[in-house]
Formats: sequence, C-alpha cells, structure tokens
Amino acid sequence: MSSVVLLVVLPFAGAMIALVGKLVRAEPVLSVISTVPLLGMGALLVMQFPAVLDGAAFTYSLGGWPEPAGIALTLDGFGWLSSVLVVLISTMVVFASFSSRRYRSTYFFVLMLLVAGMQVVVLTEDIFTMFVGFEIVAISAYVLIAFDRTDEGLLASLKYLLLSSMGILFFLFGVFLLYRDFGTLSLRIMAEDSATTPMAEMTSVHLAVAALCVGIGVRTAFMPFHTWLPEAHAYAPHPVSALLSGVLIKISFFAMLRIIAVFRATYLSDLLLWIGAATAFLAVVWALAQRDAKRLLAYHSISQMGYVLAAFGATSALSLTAAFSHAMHHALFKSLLFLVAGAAVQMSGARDLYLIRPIGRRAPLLAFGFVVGALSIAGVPPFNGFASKQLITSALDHHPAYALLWITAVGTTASFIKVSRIVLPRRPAGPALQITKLMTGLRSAHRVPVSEPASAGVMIHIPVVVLGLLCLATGVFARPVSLLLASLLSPTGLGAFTTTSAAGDPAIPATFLSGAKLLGALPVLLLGVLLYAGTTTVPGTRLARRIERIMPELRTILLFFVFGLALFAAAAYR
Amino acid sequence: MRKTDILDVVSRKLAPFMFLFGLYLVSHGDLSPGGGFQGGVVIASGVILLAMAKGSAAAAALLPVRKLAVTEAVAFGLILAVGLAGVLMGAGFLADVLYDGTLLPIVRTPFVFILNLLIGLKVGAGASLICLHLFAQE
Amino acid sequence: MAWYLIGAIFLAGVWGLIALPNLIKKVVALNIANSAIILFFIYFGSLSGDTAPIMGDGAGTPVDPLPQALMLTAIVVGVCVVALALGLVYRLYTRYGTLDIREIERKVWKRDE
Repeated sequence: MSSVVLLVVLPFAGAMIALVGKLVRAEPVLSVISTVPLLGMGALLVMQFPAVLDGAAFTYSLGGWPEPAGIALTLDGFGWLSSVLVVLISTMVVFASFSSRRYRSTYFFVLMLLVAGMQVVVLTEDIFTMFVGFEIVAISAYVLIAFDRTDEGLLASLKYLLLSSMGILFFLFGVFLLYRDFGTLSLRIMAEDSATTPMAEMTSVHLAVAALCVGIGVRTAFMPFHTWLPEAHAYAPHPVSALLSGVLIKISFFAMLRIIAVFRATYLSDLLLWIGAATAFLAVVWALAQRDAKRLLAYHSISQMGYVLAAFGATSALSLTAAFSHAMHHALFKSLLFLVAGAAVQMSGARDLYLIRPIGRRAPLLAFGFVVGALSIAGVPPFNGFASKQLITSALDHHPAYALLWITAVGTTASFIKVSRIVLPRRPAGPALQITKLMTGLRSAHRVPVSEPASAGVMIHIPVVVLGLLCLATGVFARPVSLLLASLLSPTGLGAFTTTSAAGDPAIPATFLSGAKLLGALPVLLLGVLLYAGTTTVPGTRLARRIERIMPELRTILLFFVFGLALFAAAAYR
Repeated sequence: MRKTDILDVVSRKLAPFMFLFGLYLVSHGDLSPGGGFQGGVVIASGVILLAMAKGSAAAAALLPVRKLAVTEAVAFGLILAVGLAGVLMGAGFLADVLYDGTLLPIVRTPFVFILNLLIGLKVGAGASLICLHLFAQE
Repeated sequence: MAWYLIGAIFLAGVWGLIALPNLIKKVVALNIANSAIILFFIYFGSLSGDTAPIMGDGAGTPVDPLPQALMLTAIVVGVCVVALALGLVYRLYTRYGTLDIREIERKVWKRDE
C-alpha cells in the first residue's frame, strides 16, 4: 500500500514547495499551496479508515527491501489515530497562521517539516528512523520557538535544545544497546525476539529501555524533565504554541507507549503512575501562580500530560483507552485555548492576565471558543474533558495516587476561573493587581512589542469554531468515541500490554452523563471556586508571587535530568 | 591576528582539488567507499576553506548564496521525485526503477549513481549555505 | 578497554554540558558526547569484519555496513543541531554581550540580584 509512504512524503513535498516559494518570490501563493498536502493526508487517512477499523495493519518497506535490512512504515489503528491527530491539529494551526501576515514561506517550510517529522515518528517501525524523526521534529521546533526572535524565545529555544539534545543522546545510546543485543533495528522483530527471551536474560535491554524512556521523556515533559516546556510553549509564536502543546508532546508519549509495549516493560508502570500524578499536581500549583496567560496554559499542558501518564501507568483494563482519549481530548481543547489566548495577547499587546484587555465584546466568537475550552479542561459536563476524566477515574480505580489527581482537578478549575479574565468584561482587579504591581513593578518581560496588529484576523475563527465543536461532540458522544478508540487500539501490539477484561470488552461505562456522575463533578467545581477566591486574597497572592518566581536555572534543569535518569534506571533494575 | 600569505596561497591551490575529490567521491559512491553525502561534505569543506582564507565574500562570489539555495531546493525536489517515481511505477518508494534484471559487466547501479549525484548536490549546497550564513553574521 | 575509553568521553561530554557556564563550551561538550555515541556504534561495527562491505571484492569478511550508515545520519543530525545552537548562541551574544548562561538568564528574566 503506497498510501502509507505518501503520508510521510506528502508533508516533505509541502516543505519543498514552501522552500521554492521563498526563492521564486511567489511567497503568498506557494505558502498556501505548501499546506495543501495536509488535505491530501487527511483524505488518505479517511480512505484507510474502514480497513484500519477492521484491524488491518499496512506495512510498507522503503525501497522494497524486506524488514531486517529495510525500513518499514506501519499504519495500524495506533498509527492511524496518531496520524489523524497530527493532521487535524496541524490543519487547524495552519488556518490560524494564515490570519497573520508575519508567517511567510520560511515559517511554512519549517512547519511542514515538523509535520513530516511527526509522521515519521508515529508511522515508523524502525527505531533509528524514529530517532531521525524525533530530531526533525526537534530542529523544526527549535526554529519555530525562536521564530519571533524575542529574547525570551531565543533563550527558551536554546534551553530546549540543550536539554532535549542531551535526552536524545541517551536515546541514541539506548538504540545502540538494542542494536548490539538484537542485531536489528526493527521494533517488530525486537518484539518477537524479546517475547521468547526470559526477562532475567535481558539485563542490558532494561538499561536501553530506561535510556529510551528518558530521551523521550524530555520531549513529553513529565517531571523531572518538564522544565523547558513553560518557556518554550509560552514564548513561541501563538499558532506554534498550539501545535507544540496540542500534538508534539503527545507524539513522543505515543512513541514511549510503543517502546514500553514492545519490551513489555511493565516494571515501569508504577513509576509512571506516580510520576504522572506528581506531575499533574505540582504543575497545577505552578499554573495557579502564573500571571502570564500563555505560561499558565503551558503549565496546564504539563499537568494534563500527568493525567495521561498516570492513566497509562495504572495498567488496568481501561488505562490505554483512558490515556489515549485524554491525550486526544487534551489536544483538542489545549490547541483551542492556546489559539484564543494567542489572539487575545495579539489584540491587546499584553501577556499579563491582569493587563490583557478582555476580548469578550470585540471577538465574541473567540471568547465563546475559549469558554468551551476552559470548561473542557476543567472537566465540566458535557464537554470532552469530563468524559476522559471519567475514564481515568475508572482506570485508576481508587488507587492512592488518584487523590492527587482529584486535587489537581480542583486546581485546574480554580486557575481557569482566573484565566476567564481574558474573555469576560473587565472587573476591578482587587488586591491581586495592586500587589502584583507592588512586588514586580510590572516587568517588561510580560509585554509584547506594540507593533502587533490589533485584530486577530478572520481566519483564526475557523479553527476555533471547528475545535470548539469537536470538544463538545467528543464530550456528548463520549461512549461511541471511546468504544471506537478501544477497538482501534486493541488489535495493535499495545492492546496486549494492558490487561483486558475476560470478555475482551474494555469495560467502558455505559453512560458518561448519569446523575450521580454529574453530582460527583460538583464538589470539584465548588472547591475550585473556593480555591480561586483563596488565591485572590492578600496572603494567597503573595504565595503565588513567590511560587511564580521559582524558575530553575539551566544547570539545575540539567541536574533534574540526571536525577530522572537515575530514577528510570533504578526502576528498570529493581 | 594578521593573516599570512601562506594560508591564502595554499587554500587557493587546495580548494579546486577538494572540489575534484568531492566530485570523485560523489560519482564513485556506488563502487567504492564514499557517496553523495561524504562527497557533498568534502565539496562544502572546500567552500569553507575558501571562505576562511579569502573571506566569505570571495566564496560567495564563486558560489552565490542564491544559486546555492536554488540548487538545494531543486535537488531536494528531485530526490523526492526520484523516490516517488518508484511509487508511480508500482515498485515502491525509492525502489530502483532503472534495474531491468540484467547484471552489467562492471557492477554499476545507475539508480544509486543518480541518487548519489542528487544527494551530493543537496548536501554540498546545504552545508556550504550553513557555513556562509554563519560567516556572514560576523 | 576501548569501551571504557569511549564511555569516559561520553561522560566528559555530559559533564561539560551540565557544569560549564559558557554557552560555546556547552555546545562543544554536546558535540563531544555525540561523538562518543558515534564511536560506540562505529567501534562495535568495526569488530564484525575487516574489509569494506562492497560486493565483488572477495577476500576477508565484510564489516556490518549498518552502523556506518546509521552514524552518517547521526552525524548529519548532530551537525544541524550544533549549527542551530551556535546560531542561537550568537544571537544571544549580540544582545547581551556575554556567553555566560547564568548572566543571560538573569538579564532575560530581569532578576534583580
């Protein structure tokens, strides 16, 4: 099936068109044309849908070489889902990018390379090709983060570069160990080989898996590798933030899932569960303390990925479906939130929550989209965040770590009441603003150049409306959507990793919107309101300022990395 | 730091040979160690040598930045096209479309030769561009 | 013996990346660690044979060509990352007049100390 290879080659062709556009001085036209391959990829994915749903897996060997020597691409249910996520969010981001004239062919060249890299990562069967895909993704991401050439953007990009290059060194080291032990790079063959080898005889494989997980962990940004994300996602251009938070961190998470499944590294699941819960909780504390709108959202990305990781680490019948559905839903609502927050920042020329002029009256549609996104992330029924949090609750099944996630939900609600400031009509800011002004003197780091256009453009309404509707639809039709996810995931190698129930049915709740569940969401919301009220008091604000100012230096960040590495190695050899 | 004439003369005499050696590596990649990438880098290192000895303006006069950029983009496109040619002929991406099943007396594979040539162009132009841009910022 | 040597190079690179405050030195350290990984592959590949892996040459066992091909790719990727990193460092240097990451961070975030 040549359609699999087209899914990878088409974005490269788009990048080439943008590159040519830069040289022949037909920039606007060719920039638009360069994104057309996304539509082609979407069409290919739709065409493959019935076959993939039947459990078919299309494998394609590059150059017609069979697998031990050649590089194989595989499109199965897992690859299809990840690919759909990439194509959907990228298309939305492209629409948002059209709304600003700053983004010319260079931007679209790098953007399409990023898409191509992500497609390589999700579709490849060869672990070295996965490394190359990760590096294509990373290099394009570095360029895009620094694209506006602001000071913060440059520094964030460099930090991300140093940290993730260090991570990828360990990834490559893991690849080396695997090649030494298995004599092949194909994940499929490695899975077959390691299935017949007893665990005790694979000592160096454990080290390799730990190294691979650490390398990927930097990209997925769970603790203690998360430190680059708030800056990188906050100071990137607005559409890029949506893409980075929406897709990029999921792609690496999916890759980690695959690697853990291939080597049956179940011993990591407890570690992942606790890391996930701790990540979710700590990140939301920091999120609550932020004043910068985009930084706040970036911390929420870390926090929500913590949920995903915890759900996966629970290794119950539902955990794979729960992790996937929350990752998908997070992609939808977080891109939506970032796009609207970006538009709000652009319209008022300020990043600070207390300085942004509310967009409610000037752009009601965007404001409405933002409210949908905020309700989704806060887990308010009937939006999709509520549905996937239901799944996570069932997946964790009263595990002690669930308490942390429950508190996180309260914090999420509180912080989104705080962010609602950017859409609702202006209110007196109360003590929060006064103290903010006193303590920080309104640092100029929170302002953006005034030369920005005051309007957010027309095109940005398309992605906001589409994503908002999707958030609602996946929430209302939660049961069919999660059944679809479960049936796409179960025939793949991943399904074997989680223990499914005897009937093979992954025990998806019959209804997501029963009265008891709605009541269960109520205390979270009430406590969230209380917590928000708490943060607006004088001591609350002071504490928040203090937390906000904790920003680790680069050296500390790199030491975090070594700590995380030791953690994973210890788990592997326990 | 003062620059001596030795660097100037040696690099001027050496650079053409580096280009030649790069071309040799590119064109014999299917027969001997070497290939498009290695040859391209050798060519680029010739450009870098010129740029370091004579200044990036001199190197840019020999190989204008714009032409290098065009070469790179075109080579990129052609590589994709050659790869897709295999798909169109039903043989798969990057499959050898020129191989007809007969072994030639000397073991040359025209398809690999063409790929090497394109990769050599792409890498040579790309690596030279990176360095010329870095030098130009000084 | 050679394995330990390569491991030492790798650790030296990682140490430099963590401990040195100078950004250029950090980038160089990154490159050193990257080279150590490349050496791992190449040395492992070189143990598998003694002649170039070209058909029709005859004598000797050919080496495993895969590690060489992989490392060529890894080198390219490494060069791209280093070029980009140097570009970023250069931009930061022109704005802040220093290569010390601690000082740059202080200036960007306007920490008063």
